[in-house]
Amino acid sequence: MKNHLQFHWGKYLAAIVIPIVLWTSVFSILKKPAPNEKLSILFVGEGLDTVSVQQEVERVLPELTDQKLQSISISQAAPGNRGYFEFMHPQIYRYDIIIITQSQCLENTGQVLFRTIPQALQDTFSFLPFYTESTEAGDHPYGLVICDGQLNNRFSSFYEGSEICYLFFSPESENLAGKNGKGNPSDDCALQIARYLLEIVN
Amino acid sequence: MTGSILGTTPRTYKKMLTKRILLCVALGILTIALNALCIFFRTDQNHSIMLWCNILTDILFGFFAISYIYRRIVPQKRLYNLFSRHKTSLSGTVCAISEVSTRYMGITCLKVSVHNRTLFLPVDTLQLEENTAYTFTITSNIILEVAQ
Repeated sequence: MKNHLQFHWGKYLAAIVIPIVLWTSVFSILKKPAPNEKLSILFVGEGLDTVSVQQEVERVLPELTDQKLQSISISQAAPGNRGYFEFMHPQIYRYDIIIITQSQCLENTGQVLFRTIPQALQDTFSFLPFYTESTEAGDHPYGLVICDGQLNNRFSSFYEGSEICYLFFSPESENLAGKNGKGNPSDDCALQIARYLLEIVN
Repeated sequence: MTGSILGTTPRTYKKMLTKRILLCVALGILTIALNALCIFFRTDQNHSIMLWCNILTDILFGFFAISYIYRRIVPQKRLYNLFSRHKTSLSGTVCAISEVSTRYMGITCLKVSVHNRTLFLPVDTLQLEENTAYTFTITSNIILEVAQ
């Protein structure tokens, strides 16, 4: 046994090191980032230069927030032949911010998919007009009007279309500095990037 | 009295070796299956448990495989392979048997002095006595079979 160990100790060492290195790498690839480790934005419609937005977000985000992110994704999609609400409902849980063009924004979208914008968020974006829907109790704001042909914000420079666009914050997002009642105040990447994209520029 | 370093016929010995190899292969497949199962049932909640389950499974299998292959398969296979080589006979009296083992052709052997020749007897195989006459079947100075 002593002889065996003298000759083959290296193989036993490899038998310990290789599985640790191999499985740690495989599992780190498989592990999805936590909700507060990723920023996801969905654009529902056509005409957004997502590549440029992605590059811009990646460039400015480290200056805007201290939040450590593992992934940033800007996606563009359209419901197509699928049912609108059937398509949209899962996106609420996947994305922090959902931007919808007017033609893709069906009646009662705000009431069915989102919640009234919390007061703290309304205060942050008070410089923008709100997307409202009428209910029996009156008009309620569900989103922000971010592109209407008159607003000259950063988002408009990436949008090649001519439609009005509405921005909705996911009620489930954990990256809104806790202003929607979810997540920590320090996790504010979605809030900061929305503020940056919607800032009026000359 | 006759005896072989295999302790049995080469055919039976070969079967035993094949069984040992198959055991290693089967355990290897079982380990891979367990790894796949852990990955399949991995969620963000049980991430660490499944990771360590895979690591421990592989380490345990690795230890077993190394130990089993280098102690129960490779040396035995070397002995078995000797039987396919050209054999010669030698008769003589054993003058001395060394107490310390030595490596010869990758096999741990004891030195056996027969007249003025040195033969090699793989350890833990045959029991020879000094000052006793034997007829040896040898190949490359390694004792394969003994007849008294």
